[in-house]
Amino acid sequence: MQILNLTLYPLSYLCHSFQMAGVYIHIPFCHKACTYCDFHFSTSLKNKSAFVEALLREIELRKNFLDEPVTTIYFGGGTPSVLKADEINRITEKLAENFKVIPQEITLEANPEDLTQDYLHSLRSTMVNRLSIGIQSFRNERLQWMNRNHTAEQSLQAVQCAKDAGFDVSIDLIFALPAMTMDEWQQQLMQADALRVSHISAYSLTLESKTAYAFQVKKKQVQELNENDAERQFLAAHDFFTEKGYTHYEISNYALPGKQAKHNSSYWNRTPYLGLGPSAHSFAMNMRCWNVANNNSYIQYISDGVLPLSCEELQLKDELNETLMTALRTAEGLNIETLENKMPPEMYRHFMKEIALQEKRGWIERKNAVIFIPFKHWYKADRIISEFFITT
Amino acid sequence: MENIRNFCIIAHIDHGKSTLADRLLEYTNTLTKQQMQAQVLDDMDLERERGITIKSHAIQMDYTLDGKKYVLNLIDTPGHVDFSYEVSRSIAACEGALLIVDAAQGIQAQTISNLYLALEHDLTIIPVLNKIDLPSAEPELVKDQIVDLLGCKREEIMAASGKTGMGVHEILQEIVHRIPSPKGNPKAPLKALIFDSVFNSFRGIIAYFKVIEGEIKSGENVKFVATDNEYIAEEIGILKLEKLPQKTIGTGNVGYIITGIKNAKEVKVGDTITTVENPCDEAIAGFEDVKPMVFAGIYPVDTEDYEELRSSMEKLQLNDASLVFEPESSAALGFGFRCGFLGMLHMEIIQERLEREFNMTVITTVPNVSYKAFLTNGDQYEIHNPSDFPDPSKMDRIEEPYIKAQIITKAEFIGAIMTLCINKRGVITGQNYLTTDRVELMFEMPLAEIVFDFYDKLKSVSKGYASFDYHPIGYKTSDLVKLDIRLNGEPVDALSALIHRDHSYTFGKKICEKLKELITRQQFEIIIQASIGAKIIARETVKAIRKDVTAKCYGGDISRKRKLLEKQKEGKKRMRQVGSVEIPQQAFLAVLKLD
Repeated sequence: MQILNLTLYPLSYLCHSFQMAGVYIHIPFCHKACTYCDFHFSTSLKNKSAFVEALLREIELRKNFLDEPVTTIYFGGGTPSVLKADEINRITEKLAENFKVIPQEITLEANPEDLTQDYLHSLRSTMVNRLSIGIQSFRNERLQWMNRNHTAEQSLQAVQCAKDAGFDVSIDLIFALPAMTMDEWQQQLMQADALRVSHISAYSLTLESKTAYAFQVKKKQVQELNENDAERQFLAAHDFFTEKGYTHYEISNYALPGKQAKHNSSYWNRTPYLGLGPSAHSFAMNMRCWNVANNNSYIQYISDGVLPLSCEELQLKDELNETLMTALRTAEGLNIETLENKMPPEMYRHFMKEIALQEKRGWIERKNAVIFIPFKHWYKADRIISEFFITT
Repeated sequence: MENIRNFCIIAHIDHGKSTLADRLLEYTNTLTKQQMQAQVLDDMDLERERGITIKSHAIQMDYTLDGKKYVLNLIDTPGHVDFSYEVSRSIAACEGALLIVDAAQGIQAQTISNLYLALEHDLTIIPVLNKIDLPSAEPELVKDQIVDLLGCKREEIMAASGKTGMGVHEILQEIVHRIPSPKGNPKAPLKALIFDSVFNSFRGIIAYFKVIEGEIKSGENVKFVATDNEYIAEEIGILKLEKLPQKTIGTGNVGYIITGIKNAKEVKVGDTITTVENPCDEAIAGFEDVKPMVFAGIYPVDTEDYEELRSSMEKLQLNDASLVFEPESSAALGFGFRCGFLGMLHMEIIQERLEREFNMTVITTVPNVSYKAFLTNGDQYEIHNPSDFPDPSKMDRIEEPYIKAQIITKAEFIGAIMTLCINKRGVITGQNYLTTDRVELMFEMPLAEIVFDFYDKLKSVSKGYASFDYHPIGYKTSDLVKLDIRLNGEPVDALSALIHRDHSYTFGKKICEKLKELITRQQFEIIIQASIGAKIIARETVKAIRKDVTAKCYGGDISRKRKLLEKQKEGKKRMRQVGSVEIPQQAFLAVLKLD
């Protein structure tokens, strides 16, 4: 792995023939640090305007990265709702100047406390048409433990207002919280359903190192929920939402018909994407690149006209592993016919052997040329997927 | 002949044999300081790493004393009990021995047993107190031990330091003065003792010999008596740091012979070389075919590598004739080999050489000794594998090999060591105070108990202050049972072990616990059972994995997660699929690591 300046690459190297592309914009600021979060962000907003300037500059510097039209833009974070509407407009305008933008899905991650009537009204003037709202829980004591900056009431209000303002709304929920009972989770599910949003992400709480949660576990102040209960909650969400008309289309994602997240889906079907902002990852052809994960150095480098970018060229096996890893996380599954041409015969033979073995065990199922992990085993997906990994 | 001195060095591991040998080479200008590489004589990587001598070697030094030129042949001997036959042949080629004792550690069991071997062959012993410069040295105390042991005079004991070179000149002088020159009739037909051989990928097998009688000439037709093969002596020579070809090698001298032999099996240590034209009347006494003491299965981790494993083992055998193997198959592991080793160290060395020199990843199964089975119908056969264990209804009795063990330790550890030996079915046969603080204990115990985990336990109960040596003393009837391990009801033959009935229950329980620890959780529950026949005596459960998932997998998570899963998969390469269960490599040797 080496740090490379992208401009060193011939243009053709980074061009490809996909029909569309996505842009991810990382907004590295939060009011507070959530107990479980290990994403890159800063809780000091003093650099925000310098950051926006740097971001605009980065868009110019990377204008050659994508060839195909940009159809999805995703403001993630951090907390993108710290951006004012005019800042969002400046960013999307800059994108339109440097890329061919045909907007289909423009998502902004938002915290409920930021989604006031006024703010929502101002957002109407931007390209944003979809809001991903971090609800996490409908219980105030849980929100407090998570160190969130909003109450359950604010969440309900924010969702209602966002829908009224005409946005597509997605909400985030977290299960497998310490000592969470099935009753508590069932209540969460019912409250989520009552909101009738078009998209729901239900994440299993994950213990990430260097988070407050990890510290509390280490100090034995809280305990991770046991695996059996966690798995039962995962399956309960599946049963519940499926019955309510949602499709469980990826391990952590549910959508009403036609409302699957286009941008996030592009990560799983190998559509190229450009990641802007500190720590953001980009992917095109067989290259993965990522920006430095530090706000100050990001701003510094960009203002000097240098891209603080590290790149990794994916080998055939890396690409195959990523393809099967992302595809097997979805309900759609993996079309193995497409792999036959990519794999050397020996590798393909080995791969087919593994499929037969895992099929016999019941960890995967097969419909014609498509293999997929049945829902009931999704909670062990990593283990199953690793069986297929190509190592040599 | 009267100016030749043949000698070896007897020492316990770490008592500084190799360092002192290097000094002798340096002081006789056999090699210059620049050529000096620590432990010159041990030229296998593995030997240098482990700091032990696996294969013995010989080297010739020129030495002038009082205007007279002498030829000193140093014959290096391996220091581990697994190779005691090779030691005995090296000793048989010498007239004298340096007995090196660490001035801080004193006499150890290994030293004593090799010393007895040397005394049996009437060798002149020169006791040397080494590492005299160590702050912890206790020269007077250790001298007492030596005097007690040898019955020599106190002033006959030399003091030296391999590290500083102190005493080395004196040792060289005493080698000339005290050690007798070899005897033998130079006019008699050729009789030479092979005491070692090495494999060279260009030249084939190079045999090291000492001429007992007569002389050997280059180009002569020679015969190896025990194998009854004839060869042409393509090259003979003496051993300096490099091989030095010669026309003839006379009585009493040490040299090498190259005949183009490619297979180590044809050159047996202890064999006699004579000429085809004028053969000697009888071979040199003491030749033995070395028999393996310990048996274990070696299997490729990936069944497809069987043929590659076979060719690797064949190549290994070319330079290690004491390795024996034959194909076997296991229901659990597929095709592999049942291998015979000289001992546990030899087994570890073979496994390591397969991995290092041939890049093979192998599974070694639980080692066992060779048992004798007697059936009610009068048949008798040897058991090298638990699966050969006879049907109890047809079995008359089983005999297992016993050893005489010798342990030297500090007085304070006697109690703990006795308890250990008794737990290992040992019987105390003698106890002997070497000094007020040092005790020699003698036991008789089954060899099988040594094979398991005796060394490690001895080390831990004695805090490292115990040395140990043993000799086989024959077979005794024993109440043995075959303990099987089942995973999800399926017996895994590669995990079976033969053990004494009295130990079977605790053993079964421990092995199940150990396997539970080693077998990683899988997508289903795994039941581990130990059974004797149809009777289950222990049971453990490895719970199924319920959660192994990345909640979020967007953008940057993808490459991070891919790398994690790749690592996970890499780890599985060393696992073996048995039925539906994946078993890590080390589980097959789990019985050796029980507490």
